[in-house]
Amino acid sequence: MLIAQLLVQGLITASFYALAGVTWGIIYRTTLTFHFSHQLVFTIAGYTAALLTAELKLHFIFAFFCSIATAIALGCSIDAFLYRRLREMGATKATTFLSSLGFATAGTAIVLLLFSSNPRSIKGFPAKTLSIGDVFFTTADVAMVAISLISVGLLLLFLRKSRYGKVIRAVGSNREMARNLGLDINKVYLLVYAIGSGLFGVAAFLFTLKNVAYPTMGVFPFFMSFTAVFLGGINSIAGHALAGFILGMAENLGMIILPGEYKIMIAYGILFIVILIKPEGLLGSKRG
Amino acid sequence: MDYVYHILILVIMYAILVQSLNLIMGYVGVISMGHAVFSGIGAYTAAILSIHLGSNFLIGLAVGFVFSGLVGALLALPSLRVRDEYLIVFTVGFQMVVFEFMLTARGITQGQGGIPGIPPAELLGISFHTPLRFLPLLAVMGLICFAIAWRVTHSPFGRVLKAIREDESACRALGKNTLFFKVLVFGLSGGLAAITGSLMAHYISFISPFSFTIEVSVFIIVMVVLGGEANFWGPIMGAAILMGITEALRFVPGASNYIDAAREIFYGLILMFLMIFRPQGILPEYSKRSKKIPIPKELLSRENGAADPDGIKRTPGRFQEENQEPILEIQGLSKSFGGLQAVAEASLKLFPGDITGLIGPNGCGKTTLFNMANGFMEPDQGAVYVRGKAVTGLAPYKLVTEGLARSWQDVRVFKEMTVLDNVMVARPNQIGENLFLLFLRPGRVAREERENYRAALEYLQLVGLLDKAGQLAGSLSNAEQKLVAIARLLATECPILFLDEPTAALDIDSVERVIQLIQEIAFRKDKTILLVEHNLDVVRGLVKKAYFMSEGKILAEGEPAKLMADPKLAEVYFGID
Amino acid sequence: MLLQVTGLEAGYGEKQVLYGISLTIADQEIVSLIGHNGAGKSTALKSIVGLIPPRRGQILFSDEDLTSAPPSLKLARGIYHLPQEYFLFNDLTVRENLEVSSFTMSGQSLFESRLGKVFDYFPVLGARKNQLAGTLSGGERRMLGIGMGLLRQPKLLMLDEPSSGLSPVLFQKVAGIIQDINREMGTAVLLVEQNVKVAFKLSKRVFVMKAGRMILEETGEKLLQRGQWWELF
Repeated sequence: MLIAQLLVQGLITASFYALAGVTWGIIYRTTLTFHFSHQLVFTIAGYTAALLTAELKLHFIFAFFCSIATAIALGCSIDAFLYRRLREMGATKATTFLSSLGFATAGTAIVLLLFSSNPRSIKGFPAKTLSIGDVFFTTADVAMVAISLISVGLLLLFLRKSRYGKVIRAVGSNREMARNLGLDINKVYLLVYAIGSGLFGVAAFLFTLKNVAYPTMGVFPFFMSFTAVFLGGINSIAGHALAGFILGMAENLGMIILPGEYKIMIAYGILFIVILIKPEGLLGSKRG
Repeated sequence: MDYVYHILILVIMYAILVQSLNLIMGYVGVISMGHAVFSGIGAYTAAILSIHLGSNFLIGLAVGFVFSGLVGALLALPSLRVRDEYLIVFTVGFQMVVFEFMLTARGITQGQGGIPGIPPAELLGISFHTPLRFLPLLAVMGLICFAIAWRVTHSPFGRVLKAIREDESACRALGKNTLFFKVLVFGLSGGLAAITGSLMAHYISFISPFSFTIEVSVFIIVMVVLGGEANFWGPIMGAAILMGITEALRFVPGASNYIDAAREIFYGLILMFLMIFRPQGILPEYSKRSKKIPIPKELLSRENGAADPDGIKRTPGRFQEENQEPILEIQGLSKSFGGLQAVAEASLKLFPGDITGLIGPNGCGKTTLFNMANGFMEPDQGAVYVRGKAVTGLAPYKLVTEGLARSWQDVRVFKEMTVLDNVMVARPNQIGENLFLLFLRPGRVAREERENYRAALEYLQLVGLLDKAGQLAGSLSNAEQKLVAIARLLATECPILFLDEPTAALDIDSVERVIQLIQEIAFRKDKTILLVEHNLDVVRGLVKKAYFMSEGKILAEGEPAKLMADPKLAEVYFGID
Repeated sequence: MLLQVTGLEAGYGEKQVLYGISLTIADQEIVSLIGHNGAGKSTALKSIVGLIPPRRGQILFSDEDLTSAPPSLKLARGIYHLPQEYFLFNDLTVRENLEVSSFTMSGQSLFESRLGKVFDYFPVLGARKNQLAGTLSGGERRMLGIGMGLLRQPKLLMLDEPSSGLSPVLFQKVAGIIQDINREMGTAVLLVEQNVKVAFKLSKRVFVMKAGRMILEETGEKLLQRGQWWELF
């Protein structure tokens, strides 16, 4: 394959993984909950977009906002009804993880049951193939790169500049002190789940635009999202984006060397090696 | 009838698989998301060896066991050094990498289509190719696997595993190389899982990557958790219940098309609700109940905490001749944290049988010095000698072998273990902790257990907790837990004991009791003690000599009365004008 | 009395640390709490502010019963607690730390003027306002912590060992600022300290703890006159 084509593919995948990374990263970094149900949020958002455009013939931009809304609703409900309850019971991290795992498993299977494994796609999006020289890409690809990178940028800006962004960072940095200062931790967590889920909904929409919606669509993107978080360093949201970006580029450029699709091996190989050398991750720091 | 045998076969196979995961989850206490692929490794090994080499199924089984065990151990080595969450990440990754490999490495695994035509298991001319014939073979293999798991968990080795799960640092401080234990268990677990895969390959005659997906890994986790972690019968119960439900679902009209999805919904919901309402599973951990401990008559007739009335009134420390060699020597230890010098060239000597104190105002570096000397922190410079031998920078578990053990300011008893087990796990050189000797020398192991049992009870009597031997350590009061910790420390037989604020957060009566106990230990058991303390009453009452630290340096040494009469030290302790 | 604590018992799990302590602080008074490490001084502060729920006893603040009130309510009523360590958001800048501290403050428009006041007391914070809190020196960290409290203009400032990590000279300076705050803003101070000489000089009254109990209440002046205090520890 032409190197330039691989670079472009890489850019597309990299943008997607960067977005995926920060969505889980903001949740994990602030709450330290291994939110396994994040994959379900992706799946539901993707299906929302596909069904609204295909069955109800609604405009794809309207469907875009609906998938974000559904994602936020689901993500926040999981925190409000499941995780909060477990927190109040003093459940261990392992217990919370397993509960989340159970919910994700059941939820994915329900989707399979309701919609069977026939893939659905988003209708009504102007899909065109464009080219620059010998390199080909589609309008969906452009949307993915543009919207992903803009979303990541907006999130980083929000965290850095806005009042609520600072509060979120404070809670992630020192939860006890935040409590001490009168901040309502449960509300902050809910906000974080809203942001993380909503943005993952954006990612799901972009993904479905390029591909299709199918019941296990959330598995691989979720997998890459937490890999990016641990690779980039738990403390640094920018790190999550960077790590996601690197993973995306490596996956595509790796095709030059490796025969066939060894996506996961590449991702894991990188993670394994980096963690062995620097356990805090690329941009991470030892948690104080 | 064939159908019934088939169900029984599935239950037994899952039971073995779940039992192997229980070793990691229930005993070591970590979650492994990739257990299905260990089974897969066994299956593919069996398939490839029996088809391409025509070897007997037992050979494929053995090779699979060893290969999978090695893979498990290798995966565990780096993973277990980092935080728990990383283990989830690594095992998910492991699951998906191996799955991807099974799908993509067509040359070896024949890819998506899987490997058909695996010959049935055969032994001495008998071919186990029907459910009826296969069942007894599986039952025998199952029994062997369960026996192995039983022996491992109900043994000194298993006791260490539980201690690791409770508090790994405290376990290391008792002389156990915990990483080694965890790696071994991971290997054994992987090996046992491979046996299941191996047998399944010969039973079904066909394997494909889709039998070893992450959903299967989750399914196994649900079975472990449902039955009850760390309970030997839990896996069997979990396997039976979930397999039973799965098969029952087949009889629901119209369900056959959706059986897989229905099954997943079901066990996903079970997992979710189980964690909310009963995270410990159906069967409680057996060892969590208080036990009746048979106590030898001679110990009962002795007075509890046989006190030597003279010893308590005796001046702190033993009388000894001058010019004795120090049993522990610290020379010029230094440590800085990013520009801040926490300890600067600290030196001190401990003489055999003495109780020595380490005091100083807050932030003076005594905790850092203490931790550097007992292996929990690496010094930047300097050396530590025990009986003349350099032990600087050695890991804590190795220091225990050299004769140095420490206690913890926050006690850290193993709460879900009995008081007796807390003390027994500290006994040194237990051959029952060696996985191979455990199976090869059962007689010696049993004899040693009896000796350690007796020794542990004697230490409990010394601290006055003999009557609480069978209770869970976590159910005792804080003061009693401190006594358990002291008995545990004594059980290591280390001549040098480092005590970290032994009277912290104790009421006045308990402080007295602990002071008396420490005096008794030093005198009657001939221990050398280094004591970090803030309560100066304790220091005045106990130590022969104290080192005074401030801002990382040792400013003075001497008898407490002398130190407290020094105006310069008072200035340091109480603040300069 | 501004603060009246009676018979306070508290602990962590099965561990009991406070066995019934009592103390009082009057309006605008500076009071010290001293004792050996592990005597329960930090636990006492945490229990008063509500980070550790009291098991027994009563806490009255301006005659209001706040015994079971959570930290957020105590803060709203005017009690600011500065822990001995981990009292900053290391990943945020100095200014952002102060912003977050004021988040639940009523009267957000007062923030800028109050911020100015904090920088008046601690010019070094103003100079470093865009620096990450994690990179500050020990003294600067302590000043930021006190500054975060100042911003809320509390009626009672509870400081847990403000001298730790500070050189004697720097602590003298901080002690001076504490006195200024007390005088100019009328803030009462409950000071837990190891550096007892300075504590005695600053305080009107001193409470001494040992092994979870209160063993002495005395004026700062009388204690200073003693000259040596080993038996208090």
